[in-house]
Amino acid sequence: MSWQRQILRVNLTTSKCTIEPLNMEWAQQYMGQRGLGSKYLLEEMDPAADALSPENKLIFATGPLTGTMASTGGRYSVITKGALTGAIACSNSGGKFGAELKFAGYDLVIIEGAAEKPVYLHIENDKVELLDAAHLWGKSVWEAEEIIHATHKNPQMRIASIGQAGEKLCRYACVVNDSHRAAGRSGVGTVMGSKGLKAIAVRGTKGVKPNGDAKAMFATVNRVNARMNDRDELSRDGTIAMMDVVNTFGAMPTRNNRQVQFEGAEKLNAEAMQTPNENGHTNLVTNAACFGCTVACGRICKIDPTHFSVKDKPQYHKASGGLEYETAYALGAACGVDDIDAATYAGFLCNEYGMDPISLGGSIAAAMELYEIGAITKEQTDGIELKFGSAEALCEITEKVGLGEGFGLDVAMGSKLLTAKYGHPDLSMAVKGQEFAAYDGRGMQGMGLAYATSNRGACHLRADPYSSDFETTDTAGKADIVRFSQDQTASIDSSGLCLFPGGAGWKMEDYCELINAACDGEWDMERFNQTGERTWNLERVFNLRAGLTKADDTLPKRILEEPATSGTAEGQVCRLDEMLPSYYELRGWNAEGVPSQETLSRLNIS
Amino acid sequence: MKISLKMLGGLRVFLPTPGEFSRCDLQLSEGATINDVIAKVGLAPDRPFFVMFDGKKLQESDYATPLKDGDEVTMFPPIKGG
Repeated sequence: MSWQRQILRVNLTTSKCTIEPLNMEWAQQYMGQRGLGSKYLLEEMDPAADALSPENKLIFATGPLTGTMASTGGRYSVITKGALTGAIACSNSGGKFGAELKFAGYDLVIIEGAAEKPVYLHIENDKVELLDAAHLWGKSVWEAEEIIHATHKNPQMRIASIGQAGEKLCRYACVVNDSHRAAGRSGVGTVMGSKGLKAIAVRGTKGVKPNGDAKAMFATVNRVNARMNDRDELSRDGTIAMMDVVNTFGAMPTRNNRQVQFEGAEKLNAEAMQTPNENGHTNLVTNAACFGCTVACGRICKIDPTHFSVKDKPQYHKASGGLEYETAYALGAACGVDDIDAATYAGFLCNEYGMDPISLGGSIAAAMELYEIGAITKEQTDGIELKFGSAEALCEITEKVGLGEGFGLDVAMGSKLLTAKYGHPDLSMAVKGQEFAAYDGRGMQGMGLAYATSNRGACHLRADPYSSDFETTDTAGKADIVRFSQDQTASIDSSGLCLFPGGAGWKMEDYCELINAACDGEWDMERFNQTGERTWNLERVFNLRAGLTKADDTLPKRILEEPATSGTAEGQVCRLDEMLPSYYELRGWNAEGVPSQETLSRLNIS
Repeated sequence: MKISLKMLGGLRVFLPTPGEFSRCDLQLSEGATINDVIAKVGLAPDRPFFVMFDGKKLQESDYATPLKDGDEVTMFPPIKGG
């Protein structure tokens, strides 16, 4: 079965919790997780509703392979209308929460309405209850997890919660589970905060069964796992191995995309993380795996206890989730900061307060540029010298954003609203209000198109133009590569599996084989690709109904008009105009980016 | 002549001679090209790679570029995510 075939609906306005059968017709069309959650969202809410109103819904969705024996089968997504973007949001997380939710018997949990007073949702298989969270409100993710664990005295319980950032409606608040894994992007935690839902605590003991032939499932899992056996680079160095590659190539967004190479990258890379500093302190402690994962790319790190950020704060001397490449870029290169301990500290705070480090770093970088050009002054920044390169400023403003204090409230709006407030909207390095990930669209032309067309705003995980972009900056063929890989990543995001084995030896056929082994029905590559295409178009329909248009499929002026200053693409801008029209055409959309009736009918989208 | 070879990302464990984390020195005969470096590294056919030289990513047609003492060559694999 793999699907549990039931959903949990929780109405926070009425405090009513009901268990309903999963719509299996939709499951067959959209698979699970991202696709299926998006289908329920579009069917159940008006996309034009305010993201922070009770009319918005918040869906926690697992995939058919979540909780199975398939490697990396621990993923879940949070789907909602994004608080940062006003577009459909789907943020994906690992850890162990998703599998536990599945073990409790649910494919989806649909949260609707808003609570009058803060609550948290407690799930133990069929026992479901909303409990008072007055004592948890105002607490960090880490504190809330500790208190909930102490209350229920069940060490096997898994918790997903928001921190102070979500409560105070920081626009890029995230949902954090298992202390340092997060559904990070687009402000899904902000929506959770607006509903007065502090946490979901779940324990499940029902298990997950594959479709019929468990032996066949075992055989498939063993076969595809063997492909990863000689590809251990992700476990050895983590995603931060990207730092040297992207920086050397010349696509490292640096100082709010003023440059594309960061001279301090060698102080933030895998070598820096693994090499003792002058005090004999090594940042990296060990690597870590999410549920069922044989890759284990996670970094568990410690901040040098003598570092200025923590020398008087022993609570941060423990090991916790360390820098991934995206975090190191956003809290490092984007802000011109080359201090690995400061970036690690700011990353810890993101987990503790519940903030997306990518949007936080992008917003701080925008604030730093506003400061450097004199658009904001020291009086407005609460006395912080908000200069590029200042590790002290990075740490101080991160604390203020997380706690919603002073100038931190401005930075918590995200770079789009922040730069508009101070009269320089062109300085927001974002698409649809969501800040760039760690690749510059001038050095990587396909990524520029992927950012511009991503349904949730700028994102590095919504397409796979990487190999093509490292091969050439010629835009020919990029539109098709982006379109095709958008569909395939949408299918992976709907399965319960992680995207990263794709960088560790797996091919798309391996994902498809696992889905076919686990799910009812025949799943071949044609169906796998079309399921992703259906999801992509459904998300597009949501966005159009939310009021987004072709005008939102663009990039900041800096990327389109200011040439890269060094690297492979020196002298080049992102030539989006060469790619976007053919992208629309390949998608079966009209020149305004609207799917044709023929396209929607072919995909069975009404 | 001696050149500096950097092998980034997952390629760093394939440095042809002992070196630092992801860099080593390579002794080459005069007139050696990037093709000679690639041959010396000897990656398996299922290990695709790109080459950076003089600040730019090279096309395969550039691999015949002759090297000189002190040059730096960088190899990196297709890598994604983050």
